Amino acid sequence: MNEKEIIIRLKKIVEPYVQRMEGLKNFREETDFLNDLQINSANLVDVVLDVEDEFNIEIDNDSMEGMLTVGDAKNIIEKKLAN
Amino acid sequence: MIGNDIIDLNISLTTSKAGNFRFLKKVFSPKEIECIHESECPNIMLWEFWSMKEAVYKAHQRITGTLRKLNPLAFECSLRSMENAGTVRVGKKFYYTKTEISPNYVHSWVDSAEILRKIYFNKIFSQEDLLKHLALKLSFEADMLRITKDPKNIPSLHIMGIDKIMPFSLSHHGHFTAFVIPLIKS
Repeated sequence: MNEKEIIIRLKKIVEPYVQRMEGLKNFREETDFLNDLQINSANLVDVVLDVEDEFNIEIDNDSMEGMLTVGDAKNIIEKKLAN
Repeated sequence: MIGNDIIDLNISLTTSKAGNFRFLKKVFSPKEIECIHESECPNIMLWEFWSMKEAVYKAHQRITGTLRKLNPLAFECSLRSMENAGTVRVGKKFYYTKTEISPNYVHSWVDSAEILRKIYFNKIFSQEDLLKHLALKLSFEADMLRITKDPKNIPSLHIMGIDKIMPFSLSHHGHFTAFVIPLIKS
């Protein structure tokens, strides 16, 4: 799976939780889940669970701690898929 | 110590998180999970704990300047015997919290001596509206007040003219907006 594909699938996952729709127009690695998309932090845990299901991986708590941007999520997914 | 968090129950109770073990395990310690399941209203207890964690996260981040993290497990909640009072432990540090539970919302805040706490029910609430309310509460003109955020997105209330900067904690969820601010001592 290439980076682009991961980001496209990630966008689909986060969409239902986004409260600031403008933030989705410019969905890229720098996009911050809390600041740019205004996803609330309880929903960010839902995103983590949905990412686990979508990519069939397990995101441990240490990885979850740092999942604040699209790029963070992409890196974690890539790392877990490589294992 | 300033930090608060509001939960709109009309949104949060639409799904039962108390029955979602995967969610619980990412957010709550075994002890907290036990407490949630033993409660008469597990989902309310769950959101009470969550809002306590969030309120303390904000206060703790303001004090320690730590980087933003999604680490709810690092904040361990317990209830005190007093009604609606709790303790949250972060490493070796303990924070005392209070929680108000209404049919429509759960609001937690870090308990410290002199604070002003306010909750608004609103569909649309702009920053301008908020400043008007704050000005009224604090007896200043609205145009003297500015909300500023530092690079970590931590807000302060700047009172122009007397050049005072006060810690300020703001929380929105669904139809509710809440804030806490220290009372100004003259």
